[in-house]
Amino acid sequence: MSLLSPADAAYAADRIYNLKDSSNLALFGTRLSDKFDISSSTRFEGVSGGLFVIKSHTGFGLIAKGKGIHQGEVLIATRGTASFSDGLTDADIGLQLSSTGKTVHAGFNKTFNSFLPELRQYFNQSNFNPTRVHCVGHSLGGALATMVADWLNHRNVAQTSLYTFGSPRVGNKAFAQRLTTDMGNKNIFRVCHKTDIVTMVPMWPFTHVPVPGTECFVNSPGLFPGGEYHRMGRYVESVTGKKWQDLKQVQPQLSFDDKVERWLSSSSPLQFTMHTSYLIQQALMFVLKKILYAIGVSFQAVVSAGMTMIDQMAMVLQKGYAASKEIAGHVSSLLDRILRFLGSAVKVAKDLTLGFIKWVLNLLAQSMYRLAKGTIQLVHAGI
Amino acid sequence: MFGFLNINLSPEVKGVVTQNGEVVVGAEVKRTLIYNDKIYTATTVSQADGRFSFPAQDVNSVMKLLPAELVVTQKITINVGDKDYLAWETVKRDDNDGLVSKLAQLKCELSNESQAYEDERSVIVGICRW
Repeated sequence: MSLLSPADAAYAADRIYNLKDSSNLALFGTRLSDKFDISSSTRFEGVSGGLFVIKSHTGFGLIAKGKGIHQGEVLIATRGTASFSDGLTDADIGLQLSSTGKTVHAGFNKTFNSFLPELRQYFNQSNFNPTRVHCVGHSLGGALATMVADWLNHRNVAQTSLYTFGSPRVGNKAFAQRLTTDMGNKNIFRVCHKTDIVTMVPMWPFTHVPVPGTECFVNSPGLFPGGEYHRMGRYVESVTGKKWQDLKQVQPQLSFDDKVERWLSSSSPLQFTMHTSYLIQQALMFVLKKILYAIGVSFQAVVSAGMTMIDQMAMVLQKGYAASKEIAGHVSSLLDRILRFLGSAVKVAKDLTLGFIKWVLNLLAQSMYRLAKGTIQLVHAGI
Repeated sequence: MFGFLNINLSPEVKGVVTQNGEVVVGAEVKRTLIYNDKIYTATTVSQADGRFSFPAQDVNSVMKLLPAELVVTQKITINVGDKDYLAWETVKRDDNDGLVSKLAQLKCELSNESQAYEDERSVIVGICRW
């Protein structure tokens, strides 16, 4: 009986994505083949998505029997968000009672429940008494792995160990405390990068496991939480060659100095240069992300067929504007900055319409296109 | 313009179909790309010299801004007579230059055994070599 190494856990969390749209198990790779029987493992499909969008059936995980040093054990790997419908699962924030009677995130719970029958079927096999089950996942897959571990513990199936990478918070404090007590802090490995935005959501009352306990904190570069250090590839790099003891260190204080936000809210004059155009794009990206992280409903609008990129962005901005005062402030300042950048005297109105947002974005697109063309000409002229 | 929303699903693909070393003319080649629950297909036939190609496939999506993993399933199949061959199947997970150079020079010998090639960033399954 042994724990998975950080590299093996990361490998499983990474490669499970490869089975999203294909049932070709060879795409999982062979590096765990002497430890788990991947070739005959069970691939289970989950349903993700909100109430009013198309449900999609895609591979959400696999269950494999152990061999060699993991003889008698089981590996369960679950994957994270890779499409709009998965994103809705992430954004479907609300609390629900889980199958084990605990208070958890509604979206994660729905996806978990969609493959629960397959889990039941697998663990109901006669004469099958695994000694340990390893639950592994990244992002939403980490949340699902946490729910799988909770379910296994509740059913007293086997000793369980949980390994998550960039996992969001799954349940309330009572859920987190109970799971930590049941499993033991020494069996929970939550790996998180300092600048991984997903590990910071959903906010209170959601609480991370283990609590009390120590996570595996990796001091990723940069000041701003974002998507780059959420990527599983980054986690693979961070844990390769490391031991769990190395990774379980005390979490330093997080410094979050939001330069883009400050820039947005300042009213200094703007010059029409490539540098400002870069800042405008960064700010546009910042506001779009902020909205997309905060509210899931906009995804539905965004996926509508036949919409141009400008339409999509305008729709997201407008949804964000309508959704919360804080975001509305960001959207107004963004449009105000864009108009100043373009040298326009038009003022941003109190009630932003979709048409107005589209008009501003179109204006920006045209000017940046001209600017880009101009720059290429300058480069060619050797200036 | 808004290049930060661009996602490359497949680079340009160039390859040649042979059977026991002889070029195969008129083999039906199909490329299937799956991204964000949407399927993008393209078909072509191998030319007189056995060669075939597909243009690069890109999409623009605000998915790029979400903290979502890039998962693009790429599959190329070859049909000759009534037989289907899995030429190439992999999952593109990032801007992987290794895939770009391999897809630019696929050698699809129909008598090859399907192999699973693996490196740090990808697993590639199929009869093609590069």
